[in-house]
Amino acid sequence: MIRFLRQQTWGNIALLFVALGCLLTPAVQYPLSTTFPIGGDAAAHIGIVQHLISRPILTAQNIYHSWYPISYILFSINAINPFVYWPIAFSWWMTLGQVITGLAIGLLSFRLFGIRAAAIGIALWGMTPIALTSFFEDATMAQLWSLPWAILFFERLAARSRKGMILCFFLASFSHPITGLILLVTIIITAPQLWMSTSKLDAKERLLRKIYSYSAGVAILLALGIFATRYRIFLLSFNFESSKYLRELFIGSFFPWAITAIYGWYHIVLLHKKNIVLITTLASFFFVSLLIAANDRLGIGFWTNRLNAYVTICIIVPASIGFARMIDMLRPKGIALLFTGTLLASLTGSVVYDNRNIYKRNESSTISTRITHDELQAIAWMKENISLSANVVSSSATRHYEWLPVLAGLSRNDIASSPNTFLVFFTRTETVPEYIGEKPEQYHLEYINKGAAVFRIIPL
Amino acid sequence: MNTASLQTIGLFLMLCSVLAAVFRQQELFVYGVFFVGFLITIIPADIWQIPFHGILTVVFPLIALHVPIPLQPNIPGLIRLGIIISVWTIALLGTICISSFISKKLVNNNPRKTSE
Repeated sequence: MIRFLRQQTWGNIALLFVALGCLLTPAVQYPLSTTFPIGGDAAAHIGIVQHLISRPILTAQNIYHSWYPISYILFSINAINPFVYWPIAFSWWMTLGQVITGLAIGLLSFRLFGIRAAAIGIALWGMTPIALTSFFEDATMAQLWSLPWAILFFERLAARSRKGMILCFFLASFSHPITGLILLVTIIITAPQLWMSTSKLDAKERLLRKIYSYSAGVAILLALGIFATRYRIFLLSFNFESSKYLRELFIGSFFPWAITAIYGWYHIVLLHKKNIVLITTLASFFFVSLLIAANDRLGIGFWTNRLNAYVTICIIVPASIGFARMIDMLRPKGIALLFTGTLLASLTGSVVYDNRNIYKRNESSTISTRITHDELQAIAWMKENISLSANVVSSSATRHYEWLPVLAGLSRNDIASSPNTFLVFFTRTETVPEYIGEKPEQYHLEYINKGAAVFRIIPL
Repeated sequence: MNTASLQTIGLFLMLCSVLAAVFRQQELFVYGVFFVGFLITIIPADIWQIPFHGILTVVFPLIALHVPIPLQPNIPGLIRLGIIISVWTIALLGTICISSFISKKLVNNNPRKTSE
């Protein structure tokens, strides 16, 4: 690392440090500005791994049967810390995922163009939280942690490392199946293009073409098999979702970078014209990512916001190269680098300012997007005063009940199924039904505060 | 400034306009005109040097978003997505096939190629 830095000019090193600042500031802002993870998926992720030390076999089984084994294995490292408070650890783990993804983008841009592109790529990814990606708000930890592997898959491809590519492909696929599926479809689309290519492929590329073709063939057969035997998977119901991030990417604040990406893509094609597999694979990745992210425009509306991250990466990498190419042409060099650093820092400052307001809003006790102090106090009381064998019943009005197993070790149900049953109401979102207040002999109020009410059902 | 640089700038400006047309005005005609312009711009300069598929594959999904495929509304969403991606992939591969054929023909008649 030190040798690498010694080879760089002072201007480039300064730009790299500015970029790292641009990556770290909005990322670290999330755990520092929020007292609890925002998204509802956090509890589910924690619940899988939190008992690694006390119940390792059960945890291993949970991880094995999950959709995201690699992400969970990495996340379970937190269990080694005996003083871990999982909600806080989760927020920092998301931050780490965001930072590692940014560094992976930097590595890919470095491989494709050089250190300036790496710095710009890192800084651009740093600007994405909340404005262009929903990872922090949705607590989609597994998907976020699958991105570095997907990016490194392309970096290894650029480095012509087949073993690295295969490893990264499997790590990405077992970190999050959607990422794996997108990479697989990319390979399926790329394989026939390589056979049609008029350019001569070298021996390594021909071998890679073979690997792509076999993988594509196996994947298509598997997909047909799944389609024939498990057709219900394709009938998954979902609410129509319009992509707010895609608009931001192509019309909103990121629009200049989307334009720069065109210029950057042109340079990638020119610079790496001899690496046909790389060019074709990157182009196919964009093909798949854009169609998937913009599926609301195709009349489908399936998880568009979550699927936007891939096309965002497809814009950031060439944009970093396009912009690096532009500053390469500017003279004097020092002024060009100063301008770039100032621009990136200013844009990051704007993102931090915008996100501050969003985090502040989420911290407000008047909204229920996240669990607040009162609800946490109620859960802490339940942990102290309700036996683990008790049955806790709550409605699905909020997703706060998902934290009961994580923070109190209690199992939660929709209906009362045992004599030792408690009812919990998170009263910021739901009201206690009138019949409960009218029958104090049957529903005994055990605990109440501004955010929750806990009743014990007295057996008749 | 040489011809190649001018054509590069032309390509860049043309693609900017394409993107602006696609995402702001949604005028397929404008998009089509600029796409043709884009092809004209790059053919004399760089078609012998750059992998043309790389450009075509990136442009295709932009077209896909603006040319709806008539599908029965009762087809489930995920299957619909699969069909749309498959249809456009086949269209892309077909176009690449044709462009490769034309490219090969042009290469055979290109004096620069023979001089190499």
